[in-house]
Amino acid sequence: MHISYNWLKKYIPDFEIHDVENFKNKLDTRLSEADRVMVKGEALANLVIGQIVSIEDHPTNKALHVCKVDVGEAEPRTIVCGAPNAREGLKSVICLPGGKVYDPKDQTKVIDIGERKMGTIVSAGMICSLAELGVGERHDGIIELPETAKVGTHIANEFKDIIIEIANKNLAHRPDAFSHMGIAREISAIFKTRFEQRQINLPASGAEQKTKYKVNVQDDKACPRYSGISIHGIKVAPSPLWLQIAVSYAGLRPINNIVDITNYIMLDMGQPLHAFDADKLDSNDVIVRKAKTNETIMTLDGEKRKLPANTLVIADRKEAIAIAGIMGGESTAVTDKTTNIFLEAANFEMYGIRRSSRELGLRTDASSRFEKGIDPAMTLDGLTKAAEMILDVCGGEISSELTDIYPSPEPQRIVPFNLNAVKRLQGIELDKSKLVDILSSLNLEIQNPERISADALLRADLSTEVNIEVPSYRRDIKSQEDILEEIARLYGYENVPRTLPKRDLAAPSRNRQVDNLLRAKKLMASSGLTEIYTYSMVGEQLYKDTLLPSNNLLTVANPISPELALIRNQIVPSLLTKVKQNLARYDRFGLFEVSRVALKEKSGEGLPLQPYRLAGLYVNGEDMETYRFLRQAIDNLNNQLCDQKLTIVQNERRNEAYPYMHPGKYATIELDGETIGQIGILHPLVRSNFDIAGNSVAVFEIEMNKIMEMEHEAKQFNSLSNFQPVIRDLSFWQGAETKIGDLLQLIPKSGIKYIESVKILDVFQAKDGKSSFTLRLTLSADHTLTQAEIGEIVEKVAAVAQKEKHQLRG
Amino acid sequence: MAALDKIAKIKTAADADLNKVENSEQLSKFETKYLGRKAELTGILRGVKDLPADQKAEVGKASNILRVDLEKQIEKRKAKFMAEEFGAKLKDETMDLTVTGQGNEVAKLHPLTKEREVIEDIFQRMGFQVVEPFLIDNDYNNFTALNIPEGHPARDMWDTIRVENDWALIPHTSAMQHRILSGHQVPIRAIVPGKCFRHEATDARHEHSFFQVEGIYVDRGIKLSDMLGTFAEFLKQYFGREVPIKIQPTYFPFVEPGLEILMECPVCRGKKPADCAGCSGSGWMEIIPCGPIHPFVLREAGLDPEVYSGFAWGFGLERLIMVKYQIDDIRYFHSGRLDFVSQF
Repeated sequence: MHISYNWLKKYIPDFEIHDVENFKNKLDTRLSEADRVMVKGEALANLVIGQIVSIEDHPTNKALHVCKVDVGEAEPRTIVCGAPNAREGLKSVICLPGGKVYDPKDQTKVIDIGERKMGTIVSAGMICSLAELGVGERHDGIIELPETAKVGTHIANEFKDIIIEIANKNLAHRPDAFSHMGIAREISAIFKTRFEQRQINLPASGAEQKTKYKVNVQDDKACPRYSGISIHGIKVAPSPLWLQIAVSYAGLRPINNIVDITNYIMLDMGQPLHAFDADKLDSNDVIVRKAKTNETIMTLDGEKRKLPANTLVIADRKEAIAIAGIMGGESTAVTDKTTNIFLEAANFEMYGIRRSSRELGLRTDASSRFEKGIDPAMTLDGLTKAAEMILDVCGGEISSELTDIYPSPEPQRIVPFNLNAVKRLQGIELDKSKLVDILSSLNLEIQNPERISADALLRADLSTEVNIEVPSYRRDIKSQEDILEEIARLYGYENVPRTLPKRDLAAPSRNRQVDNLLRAKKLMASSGLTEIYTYSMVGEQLYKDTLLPSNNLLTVANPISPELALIRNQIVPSLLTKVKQNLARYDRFGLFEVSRVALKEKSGEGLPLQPYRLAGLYVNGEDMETYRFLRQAIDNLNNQLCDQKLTIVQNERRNEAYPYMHPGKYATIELDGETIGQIGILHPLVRSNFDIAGNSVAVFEIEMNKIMEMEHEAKQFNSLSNFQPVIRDLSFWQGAETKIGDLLQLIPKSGIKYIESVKILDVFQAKDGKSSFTLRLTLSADHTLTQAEIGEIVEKVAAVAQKEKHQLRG
Repeated sequence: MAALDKIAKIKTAADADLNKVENSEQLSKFETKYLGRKAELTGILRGVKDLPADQKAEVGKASNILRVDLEKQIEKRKAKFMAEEFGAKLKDETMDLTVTGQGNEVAKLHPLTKEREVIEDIFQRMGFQVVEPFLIDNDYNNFTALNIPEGHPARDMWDTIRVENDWALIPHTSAMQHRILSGHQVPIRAIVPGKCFRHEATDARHEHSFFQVEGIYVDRGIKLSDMLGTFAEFLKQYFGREVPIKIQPTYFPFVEPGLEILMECPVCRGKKPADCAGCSGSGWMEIIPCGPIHPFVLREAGLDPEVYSGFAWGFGLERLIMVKYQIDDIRYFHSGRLDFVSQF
């Protein structure tokens, strides 16, 4: 929102900005952040109003005109101009030689204007566009001024202003602040400067042709108030310069005097208005009603729109002529030829306007104000002030009675307020007079202030309830908290003391799930996998590339892009997208991610199930190597976090559930007999889909919910042996149908004494398909083992292996 | 006495031989010759027990003195020769120790995880519990329970990513507020670190997926001043120094008033050059949106606002980390780039 200092001064005449920094800082901390404070028009010089008295084509350059321009001097000047709208009789702004304008492409730059030879003609000045004067961005032609503009008037000073850009988002609850009047009221309270509002009276109506408008509001919930009046005999023309500047500085484009005046009133008071061409209404009936089924309207922007059910429209007897509070219709729009208008100032219910605006995909300056819920008390002031301006600027006279339909006027709002809340809920110690000062600067009136005792504000234990009268424009103040906010912000948040809450020594309990998840992450990192985060939204193509179905995923209703249109139910596909980019820098690496995913199945609460999952991958050259690296991460998780309750089960070649796995190289991860994940080698087809065919990739994914719930009891300690351990490495030819992992399980169960541990030292897969492996036995006992004992153990182990078809190598 | 004479002779011979020993190899031979199993002295020592009683003591003593003396002499020379011999051997041996380790660098946790742990630690020390949010929540928890009814213009502040039914990827961790307030006993102190989502185009400063750390504190007698003190303490703990703050009003429907805590720009430390990479010259950075909890939110969770009060906040985790490490692009966090994660 752009606020003009000159405009504010109409309400706060005594206010001066002495120090921009200080002004901005106070606005930031008391109202809303002032994003920028811009000084405007400072560099402009030597500008006069001129009129084109004649125009010819340029002799050599067809794109230019040679104009004779009257600038109030004895002789007209010759000025070359390329604007398409340059024409005889037009009044505009002329920059004389020696003058300065802004660069329309970059208004921070200033251009010096001198006499300049253009072809064979010397141009003695320049006719200006709005952008060249630093007023908005319009540069499609020269400024058009009304005939009433006075030729020869020096006007450079009219452009001088300070524009304050205030952040809208902080004021979403303050419809009153979206206007110059509202901001002036705030500045008056913040800077303690006088606020004045001129009493506006409706101009007397003309002697003849009283039109009688019959306004019929069919839904007074959707339209609590409707005010209107008609004005006849106006002349539609460009707005006077001051009005064009005012509207432009506030961020809108000047159109014509009628449109600019309705916009001006909106920017001035926050009340949107709409002017209908009265001659284009089919009768004197104005109906405020809900749209009919399949009703359409051509709006001012030239779009034909189908009106959703429940859209509030303004209609004549025949058809909708405006979408209430959002945009007028083309059929009754004010044009250059309009002479009679019906002017509307209404109040529409915020939720309805917002819904319609959304359904239509049409947001306008008017709708954005209405949807904040504006003050119904404003319609008459807005209408009256607009009528006064129209008569002044556009001519004409009032030609109807004032219509004002307001069936249920709002009562005075009174908010009860307990004075001790200032100290009890804010920790602010305020005396009574300061409180009254703050509240009255905001027109919040305490009823019977004399009854407040001197220490009512200083004692949190004393309860003193007062009633506060709230002005109708403060739509946001409804309860005690709203009053407290007003007190704190004007008192100054920087003046509020900083205290720490008093609390007991009870330690907060730790969240086991969160702790276990973090432990799992730390185990992954210490196993050599680096943590990454990827998006929870995925695309159909990603699942296709991973050979996974995507029809069982939840869908995003409003996806940012097709790649983000579904909610993932597993993490591996997302991790795979991160392999190729990292291969550019690293030839082997591990990644993992922990995240919630979402399933179509619903929880007891009716929400999608959202289990936590842990997924990881490792990239290197050869399958057994990558698998064993990644497997170590799972083993670590199993040993450190799962009390060794996980088992890895290699199934037959049936990987329907994990199609991205190599069909012969994957296993399931089970906990208490339930499959909670899988680990294996990535399917070569998936590798090629992700353009990483030259690498071996091992992947796993585990559902973590059960693991997160695990409580870890202290493990029984195994006493240490003080005798020298004996280490024996045994190599075997692997049996064709049997698994090394099974042997590792069998040896400890075999009852062979003195085996402390069995580990796989090495696995070697020969080209001919024959594999061998080496186990390392660590033996220890309560005495020094004899050679005979050791030989016996080795024999027994070899026998167990033999049963599993593993042949001890020579 | 024959044995004593022998001992004296051995000593004389040994002394002479010892003077000729020049290296550890000769020393080792000398040791074998005089102290080995077959040495004359060893024989004498072994025979002491068989000597007549009157000789036992004298011979035993003399032979032992000689043995100990020889051992001492040998030990002394051994140390000397070893030092000399290794000195000569290692004289030209060297290796390049400026090479680096084998490249098994430690794998890293993502900075979001690491900083989250730091923040959780600070708040846990201050008495807060940690609660995880949902990924997807319903309209009631996302908005309605937070005083943002259907159709309210404040909903425009959150461009939600909507899923099926009335579900959305959580637009803020505040979606957990109602569950926490209605599911816990007062006093309630909890933080909710979690991933949030907005329907938004990404650039260096905007990301549709990002982390927030929500916080909520409800008890009897909690004041606005308590909130300001708590944040001042948190920032001091997190940045390791007193951080100047500024407080600006803003608007969030679930707090009253809505406030934004700004911290002094850590890049320029408040010097405000117009091209400051941290603050573009304002000298401040928005860091913690917060406010006293709106009575509607308390009432909706069954807490009487006449009795209880509190405050809540929800700051952006990436933003805080970006400030701390001066990271210039928020998109790195979800990029999956190891060269990003490996820096933390």
